[in-house]
Amino acid sequence: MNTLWRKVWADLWVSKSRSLLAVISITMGVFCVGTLFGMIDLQLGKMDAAHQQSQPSHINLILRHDADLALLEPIKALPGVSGVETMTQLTVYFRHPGASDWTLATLIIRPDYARQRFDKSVLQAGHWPTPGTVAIENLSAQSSGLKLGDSIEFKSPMGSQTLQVDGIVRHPFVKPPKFGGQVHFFASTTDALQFGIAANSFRQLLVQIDPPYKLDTTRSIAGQIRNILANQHIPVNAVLFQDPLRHWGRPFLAGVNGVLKLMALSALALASVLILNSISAHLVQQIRQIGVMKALGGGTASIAAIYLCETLLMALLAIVPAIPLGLAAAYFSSCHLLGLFNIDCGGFDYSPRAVVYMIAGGLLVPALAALGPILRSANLTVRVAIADHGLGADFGYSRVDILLERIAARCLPTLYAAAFCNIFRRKLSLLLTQSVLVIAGSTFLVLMSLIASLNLTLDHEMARSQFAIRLSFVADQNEQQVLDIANALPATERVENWQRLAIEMSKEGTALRQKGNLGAQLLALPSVSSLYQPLIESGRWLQAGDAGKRVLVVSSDTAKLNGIKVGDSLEIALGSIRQDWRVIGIYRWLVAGSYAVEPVYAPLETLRAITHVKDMASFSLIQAAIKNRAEEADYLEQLKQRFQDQHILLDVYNTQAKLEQRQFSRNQFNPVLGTLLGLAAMIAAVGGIGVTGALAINVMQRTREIGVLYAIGASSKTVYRLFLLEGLLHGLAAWLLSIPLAYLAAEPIARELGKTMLGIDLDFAFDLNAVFYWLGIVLLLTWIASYWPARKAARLTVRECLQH
Amino acid sequence: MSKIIEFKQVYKDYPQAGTQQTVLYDINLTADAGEFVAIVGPSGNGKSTLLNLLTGIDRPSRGEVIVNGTALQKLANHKLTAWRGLNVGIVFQFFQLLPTLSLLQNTVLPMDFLGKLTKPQRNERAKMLLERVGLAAEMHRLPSQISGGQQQRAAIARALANDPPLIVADEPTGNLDAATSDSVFELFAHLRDQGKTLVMVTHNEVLANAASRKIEIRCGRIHADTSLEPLY
Repeated sequence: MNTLWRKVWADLWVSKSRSLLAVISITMGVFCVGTLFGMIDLQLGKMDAAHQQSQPSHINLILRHDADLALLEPIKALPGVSGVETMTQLTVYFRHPGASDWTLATLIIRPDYARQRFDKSVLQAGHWPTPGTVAIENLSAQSSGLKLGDSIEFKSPMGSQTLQVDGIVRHPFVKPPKFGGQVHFFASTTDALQFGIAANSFRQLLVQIDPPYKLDTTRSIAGQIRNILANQHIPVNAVLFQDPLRHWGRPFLAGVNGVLKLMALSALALASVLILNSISAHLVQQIRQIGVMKALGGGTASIAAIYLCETLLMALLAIVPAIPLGLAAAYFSSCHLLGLFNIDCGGFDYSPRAVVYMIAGGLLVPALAALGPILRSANLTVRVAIADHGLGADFGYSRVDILLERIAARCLPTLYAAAFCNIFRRKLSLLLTQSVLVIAGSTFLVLMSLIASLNLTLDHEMARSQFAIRLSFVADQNEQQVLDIANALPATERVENWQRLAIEMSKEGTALRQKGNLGAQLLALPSVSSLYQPLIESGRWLQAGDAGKRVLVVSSDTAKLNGIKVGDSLEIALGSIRQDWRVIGIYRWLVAGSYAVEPVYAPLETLRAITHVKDMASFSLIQAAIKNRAEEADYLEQLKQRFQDQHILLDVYNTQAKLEQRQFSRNQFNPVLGTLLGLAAMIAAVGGIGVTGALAINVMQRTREIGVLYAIGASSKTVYRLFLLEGLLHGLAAWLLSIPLAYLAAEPIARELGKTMLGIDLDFAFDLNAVFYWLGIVLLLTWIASYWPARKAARLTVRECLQH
Repeated sequence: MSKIIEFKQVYKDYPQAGTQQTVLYDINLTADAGEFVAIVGPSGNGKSTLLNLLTGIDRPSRGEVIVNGTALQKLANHKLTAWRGLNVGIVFQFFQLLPTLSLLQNTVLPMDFLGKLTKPQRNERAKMLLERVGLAAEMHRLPSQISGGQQQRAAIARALANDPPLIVADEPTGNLDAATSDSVFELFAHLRDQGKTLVMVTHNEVLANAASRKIEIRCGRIHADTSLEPLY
């Protein structure tokens, strides 16, 4: 090994703490890049792969009544249709034998599980359902605790029966129970008879069309199928379109990934700040050696090469642990997120792109970050490099320093004044450390404001809902019977019955594009309704005078996607009836993601006049004398029991109490918010390391000063307090700076994040409480970050310090 | 005159390459209150170690160091710190003023550490000391804004902050020009006249000869101990 290489190794070894700090800084940055880019690639790749593997149907029609298999022939014969398959989903009650409470569940019946063609479910354990047995969906098994061999008692309008759980099945499209989905079971066609499903009948139609998949063609074919069904008087509840190559959850993850990319770049930028800090400190300590080397004939290039080698060596040492850690974190985090979509993560996998980024970023960024300070130091003259200035060559030369000292001297006790001014001594380091902490703080405040805005938006939405309970029926019910049952409860104040009907909308002959990919649904309400009104963005809400008129209120998403304005005319297909309707208002739709049926509001009187179906209710809004969630839950339970006693099945997805609904609405945003807060925590951790680095370097660089403090009578406790105080002042300064920055940035960012990640226009609220939470967090963070450097400073002896 | 400094058979060893390297051998030394002692000798012969033992910055390997009636080798570290604050004022070669504090605050700081006076009293005393060293007009300036000689004067004011009986200076004029060195030395002489005991390590023979006593250290031993007629 030549002498220069020996020096490179010796420099790193002699300053172990500082080298370690630099290595940790690079490791953190590379780890973040690997994790975040790895997550982006793995999530989308695995998501689409799982989706394609399930052979998704392109059109999924959910029927309101049973249909006969004979209906399939004309559908199969439609031009462009390449395959048709049927299945049935129905709502049932289940319980463990002997248990008192019944729970709602979805029962799926497929004609031949072994030969599924579209929307394939996968058997994970046990067997496919046979007569007398059921299989349970994987997420349902996890949430309900049901396992193979358990006996389950089922109840339907046809009576009850006990079946044994004999298989666990992964279904590609179920809503996870933790986000409000219900338990799903799979049964055989033989047992279907006992649930009232006749042989050779079905309630759901899965259709694939000839490739290539095009949404417009698919919509057109779906329209033709609906016509065939309408001719047979079979109404459709919802129509779902699926891109065969892209998973339906992609828009959600695309939003998350946009933020992940931003975070990855921020993490790398922050890490390079830390590296710059460490390298600068290293070079400050090496200046005398640089002078000596120059005096001995060392050229600028060869001196710069030594320190560049040291930097690259540290980068290499950092990359070695960062790559496996980053890849592992990317894999496990992706698996966690994919689990929300019921996607099996499979064996360990990694993103080659993330590996390339980690290696390139891990080597290039530190080298580039260090290049400036290295060249500056290598260019110093011998005289400057070997000069010894004692203490204080770094403060008091600018007007700012003098001003700061005057302010501190006037307002603070001497020790506090020293701590205050000390943080301004190395301004580049201060700037870098502060930028890390300020970015972390602003990110936190922006995210908290995003959450506050979401809560405010939901509160406003709740304020527009005057009902306590929304009671939804599996099949339309007699209006009077519903009124009688609901009014029998003393707390009931008012009942309003609504009807719903799946519709197709087009404008000037072109089917409308919609945000909700489960299709559109006409929600017909009394034109004098006072129990609900969405936020109207333009035009107006329904009025008494609209009764009998073909007028609509559509979502702003649909309006934007299709260029619809108030006053425009839309063609609405209600079964086989196609008529022109006028848009009178545009409302804001609050829904996360796009896996939803989009409501279109219209007067109930008009719908009844068109369909000639009178006195029926699809769901009811009930106003009641309820004060809190406990009373609400109790009231809802009583209602459910009364309807159950009358053998009226409630649709669990859409039956919700208002306060519970608020929580449910809030919960659907939890995965996104959790991810964002996790990333903010990651940035805060990088900030913490930044402060530790800055202070640790301070201790190293100010060792002699610590000795002087001891020599003039300072105790260890005083020195400890001084450095701790400096750390806390860093935190306090970052806190103060992040408030105006976050205040200015929060509204545009929260609104943009609301649109891209949550899919809604938020009512903005700046979270003032979060300002104080962040104060607590940043002080704790900087206290933790300054603890070790302060402790180290307090443990130095006077002799060690003065010899430094 | 009472004895303020007593070194009794003091040895100081440092570990070096697995063995103990002795840097001070059998030092026996006393100094009376009010003496102005200059310590001279070649570099690396133990002068600074002697000062470190005198100020409690280091401990003897063997023997006793008694300063102002206190046996330093027996004191715990935290007690030594408090003792030093009260009994010794240290003046360094490179002044070592805290760069972020004004001269006034630098002078107040040792009093803050000791905590004996009230805040206004500390300020008053610091102003008085800075006035005494001729820096009344500069007291609100930062160390970086004044000359080296002024910084050393401020360092002397700081050393006097807690009115210690003993002032120890390590090469106080080593970084100053001749004229400035003279003015600093004059200050020391005034301090001696006020009854302070001064111990100064210096390479400057002229200044050393201006003290009341000159001790020469060579190879870790007292080579010569000479009483002088003070010049100032």
